[in-house]
This record gives sequence, structure tokens and C-alpha cells, in this order.
Amino acid sequence: MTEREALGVAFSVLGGARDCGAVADAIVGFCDASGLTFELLTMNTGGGVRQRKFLPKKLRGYVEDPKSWTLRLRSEARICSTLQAYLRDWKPLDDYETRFVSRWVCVGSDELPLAIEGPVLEFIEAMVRLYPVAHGAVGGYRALRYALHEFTNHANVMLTELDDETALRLSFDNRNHTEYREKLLRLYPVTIIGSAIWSKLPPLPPLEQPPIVSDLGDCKMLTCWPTLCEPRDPAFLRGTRALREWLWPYTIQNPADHVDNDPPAPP
Amino acid sequence: MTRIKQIYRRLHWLVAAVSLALVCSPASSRAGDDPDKRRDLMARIDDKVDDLVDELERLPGDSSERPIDNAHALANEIKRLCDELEDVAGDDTDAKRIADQYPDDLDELFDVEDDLRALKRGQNHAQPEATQCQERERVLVRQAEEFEAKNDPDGLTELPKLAAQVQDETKRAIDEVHRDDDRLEDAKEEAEDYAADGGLREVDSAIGTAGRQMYAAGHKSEEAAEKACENLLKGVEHPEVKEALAKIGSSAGGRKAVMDQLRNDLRTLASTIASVSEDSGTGTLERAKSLVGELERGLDTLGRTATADRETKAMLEKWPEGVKQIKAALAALERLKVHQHELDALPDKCKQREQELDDAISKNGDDSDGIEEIPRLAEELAVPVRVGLDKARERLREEERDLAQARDVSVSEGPWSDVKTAQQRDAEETFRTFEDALKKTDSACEHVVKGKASPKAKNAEERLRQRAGSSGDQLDKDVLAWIDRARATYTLDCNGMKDMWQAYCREDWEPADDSPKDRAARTADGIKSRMRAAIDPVLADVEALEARVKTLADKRETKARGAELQKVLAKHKGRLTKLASNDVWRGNYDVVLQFSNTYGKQQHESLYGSKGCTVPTASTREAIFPSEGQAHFKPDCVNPNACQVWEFKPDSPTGHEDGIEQKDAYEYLVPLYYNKRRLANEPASDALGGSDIMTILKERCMSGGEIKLDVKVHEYSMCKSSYECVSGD
Repeated sequence: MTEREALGVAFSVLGGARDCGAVADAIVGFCDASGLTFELLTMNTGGGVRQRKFLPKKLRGYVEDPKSWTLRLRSEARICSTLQAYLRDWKPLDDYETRFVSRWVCVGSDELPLAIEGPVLEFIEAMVRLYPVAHGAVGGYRALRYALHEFTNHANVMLTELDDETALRLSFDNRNHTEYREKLLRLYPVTIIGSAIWSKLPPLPPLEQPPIVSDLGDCKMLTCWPTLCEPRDPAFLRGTRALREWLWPYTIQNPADHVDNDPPAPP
Repeated sequence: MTRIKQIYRRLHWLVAAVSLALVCSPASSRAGDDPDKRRDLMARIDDKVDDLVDELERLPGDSSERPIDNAHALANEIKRLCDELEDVAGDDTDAKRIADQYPDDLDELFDVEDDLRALKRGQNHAQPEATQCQERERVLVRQAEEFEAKNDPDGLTELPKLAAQVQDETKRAIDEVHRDDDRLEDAKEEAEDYAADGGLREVDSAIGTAGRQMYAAGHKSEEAAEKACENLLKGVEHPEVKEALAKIGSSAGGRKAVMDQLRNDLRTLASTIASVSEDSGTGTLERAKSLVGELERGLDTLGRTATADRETKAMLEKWPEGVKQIKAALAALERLKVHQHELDALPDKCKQREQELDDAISKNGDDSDGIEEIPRLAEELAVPVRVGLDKARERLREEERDLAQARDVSVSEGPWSDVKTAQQRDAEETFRTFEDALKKTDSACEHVVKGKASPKAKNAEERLRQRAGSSGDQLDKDVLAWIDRARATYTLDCNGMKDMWQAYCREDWEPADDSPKDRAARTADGIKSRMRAAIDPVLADVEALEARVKTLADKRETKARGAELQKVLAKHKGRLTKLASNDVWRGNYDVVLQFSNTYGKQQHESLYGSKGCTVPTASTREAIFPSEGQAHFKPDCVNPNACQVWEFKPDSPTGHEDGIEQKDAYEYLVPLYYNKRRLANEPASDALGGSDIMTILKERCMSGGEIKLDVKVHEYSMCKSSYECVSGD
């Protein structure tokens, strides 16, 4: 089957949802408005995987169940549009323990347009409102499996389905997940920065092509590139070198992202 | 409720009712649509709601909880009227909404009744404490004045004690007042959370207002109690007490009394500490801690006296350091004491377990099932012992640290020498009890802990094997051979595995064929039919064997052996008969499950070998991490050289979902475990890699000041290579 380009939206969040019921409502609203359909609802309950046919009207009930930690919406196909949302911690965690938890809210789909508008924008706004966001990103990927691997916990489940360079880069991300709370992963075409990290950043340097900085709840949304592409897209890397240098100290400093490792410019 | 509101509400209903009558009058004779009765019911409901609001509004000012009872009765009455209204609501949307919504909202009102009652009772909740504080204040001040008037040196020791005691009592009472206030605040919030709209909006508002008013009254009584108790909470710093102590302490007689008491307390402390180890409880230790408190208070009192005499100065110079040291040392001694007898019962427990194994071996007799059952039981008995011994050794390391701290007393001037000696000796004795118990436990558990490798289990297994394999008794051999044939009928052999593999993985199926899952189910059915067909001839052969065994059992000298063989045959015959008659084979007999279990086990072993795993310590073992509240805590592989954690899963949808969940869990708990060990400067448990893994992790996986691990799920294909059987499989 021919693979299509896919949209990836993701947030690393600092804790559970402020209102799980409202998260369910936002997801159902997003599905209705975007036309995205899912067949299966999988809830991670800690006691095992609980899988149900996805019925929008029942989502709120499942999500409000305090035993549900994470929800995942997908279809029967092995690689398919997927929405994943961390809901709550399974027990009170102290500051040290909480570092080790990966908390993601993300969507990967090849059925949505590669643009932040309409239902996608509304979804992003809702998630920023409902979660304590550390940071987030929006990108466009060569295929759905790349969009899914970039953020969701599908990463490293099927690494053989990625090229070596991406697999290596995501492996580093994964190993350093204890730093997700305080640091960005890297610069994406659209990078969302939570208030805690934003407050640490120095002023933007003078740039030929400065990003558009807009308010998104208590986060800032940096639109750094005119199109949604992958974070290692050669043109994107060339056009954002200075911006990435500025941001580098505040990222997890994945060696693959260092400007010295940028692909050579075309002749 | 104000009169204007009532008139407004009634007008609203009237307008609604008249409009309805104009629009719907031709249909008024329809069943379930009686406008007159409906109007009447709606007006009555409205009246009752007004009354209900009135009751709630007068609740804060009432002297009893009666308004709540009245409100409850009114709510029930309204619910009953709503039931009636439902029958005559017809198409009237207002009537339908009332009949539908009010009962639910009123049920929720019942839910907040307890909160309202608690708030009502708590309006003056702190008043008794305020009164008690006034009384305590009176007694304490009187005592201070008496000591001061007589210039009595006893006041220097007695007054601080009394002030401390009163401080303690008052603190407890005030803490309880604060807890009550917290509970009332919760109740207020519950009352505020009550939500209703439409015609019950006034009820919603009245509940919130009543809750807030009653809570405010309770909170005010808390503030009054705090004020009344303020000075008592200062203890020895209570202004009157402080003044009296200063006056008495400035006299030589007063100072002498305090110093005598301090010396006396120190002597008592030395003798008390000497008995901590032999005390079966912690009473002696508590007494020692309390004496240290007395010493602190005495030194405080002495410190407040204005003096220049040499003896007082010497005491004030050296003793506080002694108190500080002994306090820290006693804290460590307390930790030693808590664990002192923890292991005492373990040797007996190990003996019991050993006895359990002995009994099982004896009960098994010559039953060849024991070849599997005895090692399994031995392992089952060993697991908790291994865990317990690991924990005990871990504790021993902590004990060694605690002992060093408990012995760390250097002040030895004068009477402090006895305290130091007693403390150090007692700490060693307390530690020694634990250490000796661990040695005894090690010795008593020596065999049990080895599990299936223990001499008893091994000997029993060996004996059964020998008996089964080389005994000269032909009947025994025949029975065992029959049991092997019986087992073979329901166990998936290599050819069965191959068939199942082909069902899942072969690609040359016709396009019209169904899914691999269906094919596998069909193949499994076929295999099961073959297996069942093989059962009958095996069952047919058992009759002849049974007859031969019966002959054996009938003879006096071979009766016992015959009975055993009869038992074994009956068990396996029963199993076969059941399988032959059941259409569905469940659990371990299920062919699909046998296939995936065997295939999974083979894949796990192969992947364990290829991924450089050092934990678990062998492919057949499990690595059990502290669960930290997670359901998954046994990753398949940790490779510290690659800073990698692996979970091996089949590439099925369920395997995929399980893998994601396990990945989440291991990402959290595996690095957390090794980092906690690193921070405590302790090795990992032996089963999780011991000190070796810590060394490698610290060398290779440290980044940003912590051990970082990459968790991956390896999804092994169920069809990676063709499944072949070789002779002997």
C-alpha cells in the first residue's frame, strides 16, 4: 500500500489532566469535527490492557474511571491513525519518582491535512487548556509510522520499521525521558513551549527569518517554518540553524540534532 | 424566600399554563395529558420548593438540626408530587422537565444532608477547647506564682515539666480543632458543590449559603480557641512561667537543685540505656529518650539563670554536646532496636518449610509425578526464603551503618563516661542479636533456599527417576510407559507445532481463505481431533494394566505399592477420559495456547541469548523489580553494557498493546530502581545484577547525573523462519 504523508501533534505533559471528563469531550469533539474515526479504545489500567470498541458516548465514563491511566484510540490495522492521552498518575509520586514517568498526549494521522487549522487547532488549544504542558510539537512526516514513532510509545516497539538514523535519534530521546519535564526535545516546524521552559529562555537573537511567536493558553507557539515537515528535513535544518543554536542548551541535546551534524548543503 | 420571588415564580407558571392551554386545548383529553391536574401539581410543587428553601435559610440560626429533617420530608413530598406530575405531563415541556429533573436533584440533596448536619454540629466546635485552655492557663499561672512567692527551687524543675505537659496537651487539642475545621471545610465545599438549576436554583443557592454561614461560625470558634490557648502553646516560654523561672533561678539554691536533678537524670540515663537491648519491647528506649528530653529542659532552665559560678559554667559548656550526641546515637539505637528481633522467627519458618517438603516427599511415595512435583514444590518453598534472606542481608548492611552511628558518642567527662559505655555496649548487643539471628537463619534455611537443588529434593527426584527408569519391576515400567503415552496424547509435539506454525505463517493459502487466526483455530481443531482419536486406544490399554495392578494390590505384601499405582493410574485415566469427552480443551490443554506458549518460550530463550542480557541471571529465571504500583515489573532482559531494557513480545495486536503498556511501566521502574540503589550507594539485589550491574551502569549509562536506560519492545515475528522438526523432537 502506498504510504501517505502524516500529521504528528504531541505534548509532553507534567502531570495528569486537570479534568479527565473534559479531555474525553475534547477528543470526541475532535473526532466529530475532523471526521477521524477510531475502532478501538485501549485503556492502560496498570492491571492490564482493557480494550473496548470505541463508542464516543462511553468515552467519558472510561476516562473518568480512576483506574484508567492512559487511553489510546486506534483501529484494527497494525499501523493506523492513533490518538494517545495520558490521564492520571497511578499513585502519588514524589519529585524524584515523577522524573521517570513519560506522559504524552499525541495524535498521529495520515487522514488529516498537514496544517494547524480547524479541528486540529481546536484540539491543540483544548489540550493546552486541560493539561500542564511542558512542551509540544507539530510536524509533517513522510509516512504515518514516522509520525507515530516520533512521540507516542509506539516508539521503539517497531524500530525496524524506521531508517537507522531516525531509530538512533529516537533511541536517545527515549533513554533521556527523565529530562522531558524540564527540557525541549528539539526544534520542530511548530514548537510549543510551556511557561516553565519559556521563562528560562533568553531573548530571541536577531534572525533573518524569525519565528512567529503566538500565545497559546499559558504556552508559546513558535511557528518556525512555513510548512509542516520532519524535524530533520534538510531544508528546515538549513533555514533554522541559528534558531536551533539558540535553543540547543534548553533541549535534551540529542547529538543527532547538533548543528554540526546537519546534512551538507546541496551543491 | 421573598414574597416578590414567590409571586414572580407563580406568574411564570401561570403564563406557561395559559399559553399551553391556548395552544393545546384540543388535545387536552389525550391520555396522560390532564391540564388541570398538571397545573395544580405544578403549583403545589412550587409551594413545597419555597418551603424547602425557607427551611434551609433558617438552618444556620436554628438551635437544632430540625430544619434539615423538615427539608428532607419536603424533598420526599416534592418527589412524590413529581411522580404524579409525570403521569399528567403530556406534551408540556416544563412539566416534563420538572418531573424528570427534580427527583434526581433532590436525591443529590439527600447526599449533602450529612454535610449540613456536620456543619450544624460544628458551629461551636472549638468552644470546649477554649474553655479548657482558660482552665489550664489558670492552673499554670497559679503554680508559677506559688513557686515564685516561696522562691522554691523545686519550681526550676517542676514548672518546666508542667509547662511542657500543658503545652503538649494543648497542642494535641488544638491539632484536633484544626482537623475538625478541615473536615468542616470539606463539608462546606460538598454543600457548595450541590448543583441544581431551573426551579431548584433557589435550593442550590440556599444550601451553599447555609453551608458557608455555618462553616464561618465554626471557624470563628476555632480562632477564639487559638487565642485562648496561645500562651499555653509557648510551653516554658509562657510569659508568667518564664518570669517565675528567672526569679527562682537567680538564687544559688535554685541552681543547685537543677544541677542535682541533671546529675541524677544522667545516672538514670546510663542505667536505662544499659537495659535497652534486653527489653523485649521499646519501653526502655522510650524512657531513655524521655530522660534526654529532661536533660535538655534542665539545661535550658540552667542556661536561663544568671550566674558566673564555675560548676554551672562547666556544665553548660560540656553537657549540651553530650545531649546532642546521645540523642543522635539513641535515634540510631532505636533503628537497631526496631529490627533487633525481626529474624528470630525465621529459622523455625525454614524448618517448617523443610518439614513441608519432607511431608510432600513422603506423601508422594513412589508416584512418578513427583519427578515434576517435588522440584516444583521445592522452588515454591524457596522463593520467599530467598527474598527474605536478600532483604535480611540488605538490612544487615544498614545495621552496620546504624551501629556505627549508635556507637558515635565521644563526650566522656565525669558521669558521661557511664552513659557512653552503656550506649556503646548496648548498641553492640542489639546489633549482635540481629547478626546472630541472621547466622542462625542462614544455617536453618541452608537447604530450603536451594529449592530444587537442595539435597532432599534432588535425592527424592533421583530416587524416583531411578525407580521409574531402571527398576526391575516390569509393572512399574509398564505403568510409567502408559503414563508417557497418555501425556503424549494431549501434548503438542514438534509436528503439531509445525502444523500450527504453518497455519499462522504459510503464504500459499487460497485467496478465499480466512485469516491466520481462523486457520490456526481450524488447524488446532484438527490437531485436537487427532489427539482425541489417539486417546481411545490408550484408554483401552489401561484396563489390562489396571487388572495387573489390582492383583498387586490384593496381595498383602505388595498392597501398598499396588494402591499407589492404582492411584496414579486413576489420576491419568480420569484426565484422559475428561479430555476425550470434552469438546473444548481449556487452559494448558488448549492447543493454540500450547503452541504460543512453547513458541514464545523458544523465542524468549533465543532473544535472551542474542541481546547480551545479564538480568535475569538466566533465560529461565525472572527479574522481579519492586513493582512501585505497576502491574508489570518483570522485564525480559536488561543489558547494562548497552543501557538497554528489553521486553520480548509476539507481533500480534495483543502483544503490541501489552508491549506498549509494559514499556511504560519499565521506563518508570527499572531506571528508578537502579538510580535509587545508586543514590543509596548500595548494590542491586543479586537477582537484579548485584554490584556488578551497578558498576557497569555507573560506567556506561550515567548521563546528567543519573543512570539512563532505553526501554524497547522487541516484537518477534511468529513467522520469521520456517519451523522444522528434526528427528528426536
